[in-house]
Amino acid sequence: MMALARRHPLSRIPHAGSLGMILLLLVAGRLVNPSFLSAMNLWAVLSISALLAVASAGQTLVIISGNQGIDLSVGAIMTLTALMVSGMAGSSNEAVPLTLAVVLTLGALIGLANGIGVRFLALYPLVVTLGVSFVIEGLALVYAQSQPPQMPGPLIESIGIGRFLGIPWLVLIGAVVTVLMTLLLRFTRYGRQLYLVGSNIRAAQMAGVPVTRVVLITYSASGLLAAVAGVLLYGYVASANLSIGAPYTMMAIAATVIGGTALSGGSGSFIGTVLGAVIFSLISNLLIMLGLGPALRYAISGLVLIFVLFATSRDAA
Amino acid sequence: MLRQVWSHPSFPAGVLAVLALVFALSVNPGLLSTGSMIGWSTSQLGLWTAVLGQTLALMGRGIDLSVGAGVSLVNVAAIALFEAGWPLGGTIAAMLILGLLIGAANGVLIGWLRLNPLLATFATSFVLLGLALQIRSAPGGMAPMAAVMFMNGATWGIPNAMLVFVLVLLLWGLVARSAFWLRLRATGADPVRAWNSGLPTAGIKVMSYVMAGVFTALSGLFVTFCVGAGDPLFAQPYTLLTIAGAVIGGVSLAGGTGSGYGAVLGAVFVGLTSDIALGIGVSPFWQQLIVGCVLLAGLAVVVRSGRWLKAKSDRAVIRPTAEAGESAA
Repeated sequence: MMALARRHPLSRIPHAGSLGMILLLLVAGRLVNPSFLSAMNLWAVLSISALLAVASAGQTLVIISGNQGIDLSVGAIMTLTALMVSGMAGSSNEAVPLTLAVVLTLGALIGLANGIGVRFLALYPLVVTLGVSFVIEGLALVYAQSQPPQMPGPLIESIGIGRFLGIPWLVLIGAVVTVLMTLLLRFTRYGRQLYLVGSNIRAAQMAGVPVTRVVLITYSASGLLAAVAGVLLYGYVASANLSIGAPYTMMAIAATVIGGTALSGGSGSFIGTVLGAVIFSLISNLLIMLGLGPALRYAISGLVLIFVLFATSRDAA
Repeated sequence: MLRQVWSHPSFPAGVLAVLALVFALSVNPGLLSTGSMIGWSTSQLGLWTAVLGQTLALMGRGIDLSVGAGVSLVNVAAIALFEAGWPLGGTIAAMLILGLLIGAANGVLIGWLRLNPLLATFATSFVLLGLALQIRSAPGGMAPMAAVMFMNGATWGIPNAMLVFVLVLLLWGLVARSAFWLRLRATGADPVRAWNSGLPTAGIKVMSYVMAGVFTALSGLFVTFCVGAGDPLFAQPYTLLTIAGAVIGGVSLAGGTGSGYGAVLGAVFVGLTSDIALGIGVSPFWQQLIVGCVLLAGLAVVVRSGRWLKAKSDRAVIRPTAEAGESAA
């Protein structure tokens, strides 16, 4: 399929498939409801996309790192982070810096634990991160019991729903993360080593790539970015509960794969993941605009997801 | 002979399940009374059955993230048919057909349309969850009283749910003895070599999901008769618990290795951990953390020890396998 696609003139545009899908969804949305293309709705879609893109950033790194790399603990980390920010920062601004330092460190440490399981215990990433997510869900329940969730303070809330120069903070943060991730993947030594580890870990090791360091950094970064996403999610929803982050695990994987990152590792880009997140958010926004109930929204978004997967990412063999 | 026992992929799960059972009995000696065995087996029967479906999917190097949603859909659909006045036999037949359809949908997406199993079944889980919520958005409804009484009863001191599960294991025995099972293991162990040896690998994958759908339907029916009501979210945790149970039971995520009996032992272990946590009297809020830690440790121990035992037995037999090199990487 790749060989056929290469001959097509449209394929010279990077991410032509995703961009075409976005255009299709925008046209469909305009036909359904003229206010779909209003500035307010588009900013709302972009805000949700930015949130999902940040949640998918770590997932993108882990999936590029290959060797069946996948992080099923993203949602659990987001839940724990949202609950902890809610419990520690309360509704004031004073405790926010300390809280952020604590939760981001914790996120990175959980990611490091995943990395240690993957690299030193040589367990399947799916198994390690699934097991770790069971533990974190337990931690979140214990924490929520001792510190009942509160409403967010003004600072966290303005990050979640406020605007700066007319642009939602979430979109600005998403843009900054996109630029940093792209620089990280394209122009740093770590980025190049990550692709090498992902395409062939044994060849990378022979060539002198510090494989262990790359794997540990990758999983730690995934935990850290999941924690960032948890803070943003808490600001956006303005409350925290025990299942707040759970849907983001698989949504992040889907956004990453729709964005052209192969689950086999060694290829992909973060811009692709961002486009995947936009597609995902457009679909759910469109279904809400149609006035469908949650049940039909689930069913139809599943069918659309099958179609999108079919159009963007079929397995080679 | 002894080596065959301890190098079997489900040996660690058996040890863990026995240890957990002994520990559970020591904290709660009443566990073997008929009443508490009924409670225990009716709450676990759905999971034990669903893990067999997950095993079929994993064996062909796939995975099924739609187990939880599929079981829930069968559960609420069965209750809806009972409410529409369908007889017991008709409903069971209709649900088995529903299960076949669910499995066929997953199978066609993965085997013939070559979508990634993880993402394809994730997408179908959305569709199934949506349908389940459409049929019934909140718990409720009523299964026929006779069937519910039977499932929650006992014969000669043995819970009927356990007797029913023996029948499920016999059904699994037919699967595990079939030529299809051998072909599926070959496909899962190395799809390219299997294809080169003339196996229709795509069709085998489709078939494995269709058969997994039967176990999903059975699991949904058991949940219906054990609980007696319909709940669109009751079985949601089954998705991840069946994966954990199967992996603890020695089923490899890389396909081709493991057995259904091991997967059931793994699922028994998963179920026992929460019973033990309750039995030693910890607060329910800490229970999930303890269960999570035990599951993480169980997953790590089983995968590590399984590999160690396999490497040991491979060295003893001196078999040049590509697998040994791969698992060392």
